[in-house]
Amino acid sequence: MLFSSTEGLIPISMATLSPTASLGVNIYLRARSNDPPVLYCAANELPDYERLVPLVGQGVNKLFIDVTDRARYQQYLRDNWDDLICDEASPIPNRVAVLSEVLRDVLDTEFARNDTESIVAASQKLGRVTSHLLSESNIITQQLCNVLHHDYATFTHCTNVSMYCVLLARKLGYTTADIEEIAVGGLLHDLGKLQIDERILNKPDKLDEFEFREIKKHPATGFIQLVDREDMSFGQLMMCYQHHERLNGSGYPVGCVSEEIHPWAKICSIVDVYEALTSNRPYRKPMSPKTALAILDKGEGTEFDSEMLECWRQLVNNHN
Amino acid sequence: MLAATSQQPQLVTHEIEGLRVELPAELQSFFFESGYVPTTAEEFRGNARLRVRSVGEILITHTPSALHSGISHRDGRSGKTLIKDLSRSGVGVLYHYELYPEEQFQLRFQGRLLLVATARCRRIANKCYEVGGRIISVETIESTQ
Repeated sequence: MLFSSTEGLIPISMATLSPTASLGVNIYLRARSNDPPVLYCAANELPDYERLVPLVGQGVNKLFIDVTDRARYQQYLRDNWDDLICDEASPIPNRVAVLSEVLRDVLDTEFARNDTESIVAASQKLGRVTSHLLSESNIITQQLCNVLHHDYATFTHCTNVSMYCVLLARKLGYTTADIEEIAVGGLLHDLGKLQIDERILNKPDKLDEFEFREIKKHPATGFIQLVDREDMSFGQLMMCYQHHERLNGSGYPVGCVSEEIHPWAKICSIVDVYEALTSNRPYRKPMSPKTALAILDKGEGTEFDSEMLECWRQLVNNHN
Repeated sequence: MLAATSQQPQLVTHEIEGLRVELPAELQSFFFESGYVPTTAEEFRGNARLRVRSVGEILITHTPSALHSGISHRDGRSGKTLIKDLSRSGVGVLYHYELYPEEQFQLRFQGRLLLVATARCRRIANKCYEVGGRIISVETIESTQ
């Protein structure tokens, strides 16, 4: 199991706990990352929020459950996500944290089934929710980063990219309808990766020529999976097909140049790289936002659209 | 017969009526090359590719509907293309604009009519895209050239 710690526990967001519904599994707490887990809430109890408040103040936002209880947690999320996300009394970062958990959970399940029809259906539904929640709120990028997971699973990456796309599209002044489509495109942009052997995707060493060639097939693979669908727009298809293209033609699969690359694919390319750099990878630790931005800056105007990158820089530096 | 050998003079592409492909400097020897295309074990190619340097007629027969909103409608669009290489299952051509995976086209050259589905496309230069396609069907036709 990808997120299993050595004790067999997986992290869950505190924000997903409902004051009125029991999770039905034991929940553990770690005050500091090196502390041993202690039982916070037994399976048959409701969460005691008073115990959590001081921890939240210290920046703790994750609790833990046993890895064997994951299916039960996923069912709990599916049963309660509507209430948790739509709870207007709840702070926006909490609701976004719930959304992130739900997106990851649903994408994880759907990606594992590898059925394009149900992946697209789920993405359409959750893309709308993502777009609505993020474009109507004043959440800043740093708050968003704090509640997201940063592991290297494809479903986590797609979740984060979709949310980042929404923030950047909003900043660039796109319409609500466009932002909704962009959110869905972000969720689906790496669909083709589901056809790549996990041993290649998760390889901790440098990829050899064959492996890199396999990786480079994923934009076209995803595009082919989506191109005959009536419910996909051209921009969404291009997010999938062109998100590794670069303005100077150095990208793949085609090597398109600036004006040939769809604007939504340009948005996706910036946040895709940023997300990858700031997340854990099998071969390195996550970079700080500052370092990730510095790497993106090197490609300003040559690989990445200057105006879009400037907007993203402002967002990361908390200037909404 | 336009397939080139090292003895034939270089074809000046801009003098071929209807051909809009612009060969970049690195492909100026295009019509001088012949023989089999070298391949590597990693490519997993099923069949050897032979360099076939020729001018062909192309007719776009199918563009997936999801692309129609983003690119001008091009079903039925015809023109000239440069044939690059050929194997039992695939064909490579140079064309002056990008084709997307799953777009289909007819290719007429050297007495053959091929129906091809685009598998990949790579930009070589402005107005020069290398398109690799999967052959769906082949017919022999009487030459009118």
